[in-house]
Amino acid sequence: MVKDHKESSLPLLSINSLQVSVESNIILKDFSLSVSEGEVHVIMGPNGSGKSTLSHVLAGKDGYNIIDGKIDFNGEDLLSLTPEERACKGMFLGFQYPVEIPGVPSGTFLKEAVNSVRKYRGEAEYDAMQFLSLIKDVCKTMDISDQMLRRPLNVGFSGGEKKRHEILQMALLEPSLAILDETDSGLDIDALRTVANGINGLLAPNRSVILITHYQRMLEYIKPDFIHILYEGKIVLTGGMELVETLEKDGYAGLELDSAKKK
Amino acid sequence: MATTSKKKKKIDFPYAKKAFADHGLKDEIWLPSTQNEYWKYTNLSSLSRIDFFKNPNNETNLESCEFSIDPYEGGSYDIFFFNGHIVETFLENFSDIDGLSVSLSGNQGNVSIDSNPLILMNQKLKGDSINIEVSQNTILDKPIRLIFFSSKHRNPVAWHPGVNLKINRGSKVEVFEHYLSESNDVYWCNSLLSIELGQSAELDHYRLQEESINAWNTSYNLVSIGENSQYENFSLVTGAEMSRNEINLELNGRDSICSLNGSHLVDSKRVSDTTTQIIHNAPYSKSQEKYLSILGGNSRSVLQGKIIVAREAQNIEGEQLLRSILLSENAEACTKPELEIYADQVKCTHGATIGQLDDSQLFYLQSRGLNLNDAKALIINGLMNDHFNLIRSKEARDLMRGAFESSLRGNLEILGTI
Ligand SMILES: Nc1ncnc2c1ncn2[C@@H]1O[C@H](COP(=O)(O)OP(=O)(O)OP(=O)(O)O)[C@@H](O)[C@H]1O
Ligand SMILES: [Mg+2]
Repeated sequence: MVKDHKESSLPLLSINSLQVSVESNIILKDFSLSVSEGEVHVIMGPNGSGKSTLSHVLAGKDGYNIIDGKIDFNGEDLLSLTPEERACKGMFLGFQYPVEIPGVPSGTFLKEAVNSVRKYRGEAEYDAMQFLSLIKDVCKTMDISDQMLRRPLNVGFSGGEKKRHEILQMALLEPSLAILDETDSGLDIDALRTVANGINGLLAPNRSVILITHYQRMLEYIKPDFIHILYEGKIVLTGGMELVETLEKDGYAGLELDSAKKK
Repeated sequence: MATTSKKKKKIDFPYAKKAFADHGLKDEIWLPSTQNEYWKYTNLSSLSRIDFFKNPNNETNLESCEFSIDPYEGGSYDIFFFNGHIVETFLENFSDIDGLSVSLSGNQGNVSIDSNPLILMNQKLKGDSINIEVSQNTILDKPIRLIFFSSKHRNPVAWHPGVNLKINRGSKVEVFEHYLSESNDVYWCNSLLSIELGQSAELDHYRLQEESINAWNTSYNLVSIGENSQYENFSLVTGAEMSRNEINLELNGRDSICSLNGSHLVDSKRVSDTTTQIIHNAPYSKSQEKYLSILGGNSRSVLQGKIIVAREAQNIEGEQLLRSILLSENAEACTKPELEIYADQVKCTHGATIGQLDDSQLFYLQSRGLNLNDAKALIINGLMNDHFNLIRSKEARDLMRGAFESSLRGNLEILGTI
């Protein structure tokens, strides 16, 4: 099931023995993960195992204590960068719960986001006309209407619309590493395919994805290189699709996580 | 003891004393101190120390001033107050407009409010004053714009303009007050607006104060609303060192409606105060109030709103929300919602909230590449976008939104992160 790996691919992200606490609870402990260019990593794990915490720490959200560990992103110390620097340097987080911003038309927001990143990278900012023609095509592939761009960002969007909008943002920002936190949850069959197409459209030899999910169904469209099982803040198993198949059949009990953890 | 505490309610005001003496006036004149209930949060003692010069009539002329005013889309009937003086050439434009009569007025109207020294100064020191009357069943095709413009001054000056506005039965009018200045000089504009709406009339009254950040602006609006009439007010303050906008409104007819809304955007040590009093005197009248303050630096916003429901005013509805958003730890929001109800069939809600920008919203935007300042500005513009939707007139809304966004863009320190 697992793809062959090019020996030459470079590490894009490497996380070493990360330990993170929130309000004196340790959430991630001795967490290590290395993602090379072009790879798709899937992280699964029971509710509360720390998946979203990991994604927030990677994107730079406040409120987490990094007790120990090191994170390298493209050869840079990720933890010393602000959230916007991380975004401008190619990191993207698709939120499990996208945030509502009242009064800000989503089109206005998208233009500002794209131009912020372009400005940071020393590229010319798009004017309204250029942006409009750019976004038209992306909207079509993500099945998002013009009318939705006029609505305030995420306000009153359905669960599925929010997730499609996350992928729309990803497609516009063209990140080198996309961390997608349960982007497949709450999607109907068609939306799932649309989202999967969006992700596959992004994938390229120098782009990587960390897919956080609870279900197998997304993996019918996106072929993963590695499946990791996160349990109590630590990756306890790494393998291929066989892990997902066991999970679908027997749930987490089938993976005997407690004994895996001890190894 | 009683006399000392009484004394403390008054601040000595040499400028006004001298001006009164020059006019041969015997009235006692002073400024209210923070010991007065409705001046608790707004301190006029710095104003009292300014030695204002006599208003220099035509010291400079309008043509030689550098300024630009965003035009009102679709045009407007402009009345120009230049350094407190009405530019009479503008008034000639009003002679042929059906249903509209505009004239200079010898007095500031027959407003009588005792114990308010600001009004007393306005009335006794007789600045220029204008009467605007809209006759019955007139729908004005364009809004009336009152432009209060201040040119550069060598010395601080004070003026006391007046506007008397009478909208007769069945008429519909939009009025836009626009305060602006050539530079960031010190001056004081102490205005009095008296507004009377007859039966089944409608007035949309807007006020944009984007003047000198060193100006003092005190204004008093006395509004009376007749049966089945509607009054809408939206006021945006981005200028002035200290601004006090006071609205005293009476719903005097059955089914009369008022909607008072607005916003302050202030920073550094500036103070912006909106104090309103709505009196429901008639049954089935409705009032709505929504204010939103955005505060940076060491600024202070004062939002005081009192709703009084008279005993005869049964079946009325009142809704009031005073919101403040602090962008800095040192900014201060003073909100005071008040209800005084004598009727028993009444539906009134009121509330005040003081908050900050939401961290998860900020993080979401930052994670898309926006720096903290841009993220804050986008969220604030979004909040204001919704707030500006309270403005019925599209042209006025666009002007307000433009003024707000450019004021925020021109003043990023207010965001507190640079
Ligand atoms: N701010 C916080 N304060 C206290 N506990 C927190 C906080 N944030 C997260 N946690 C706890 O950290 C643990 C991990 O949460 P996280 O959201 O990372 O789980 P998850 O793996 O994403 O779960 P799910 O599959 O349900 O999305 C949970 O027990 C959660 O309650
Ligand atoms: Mg989660």
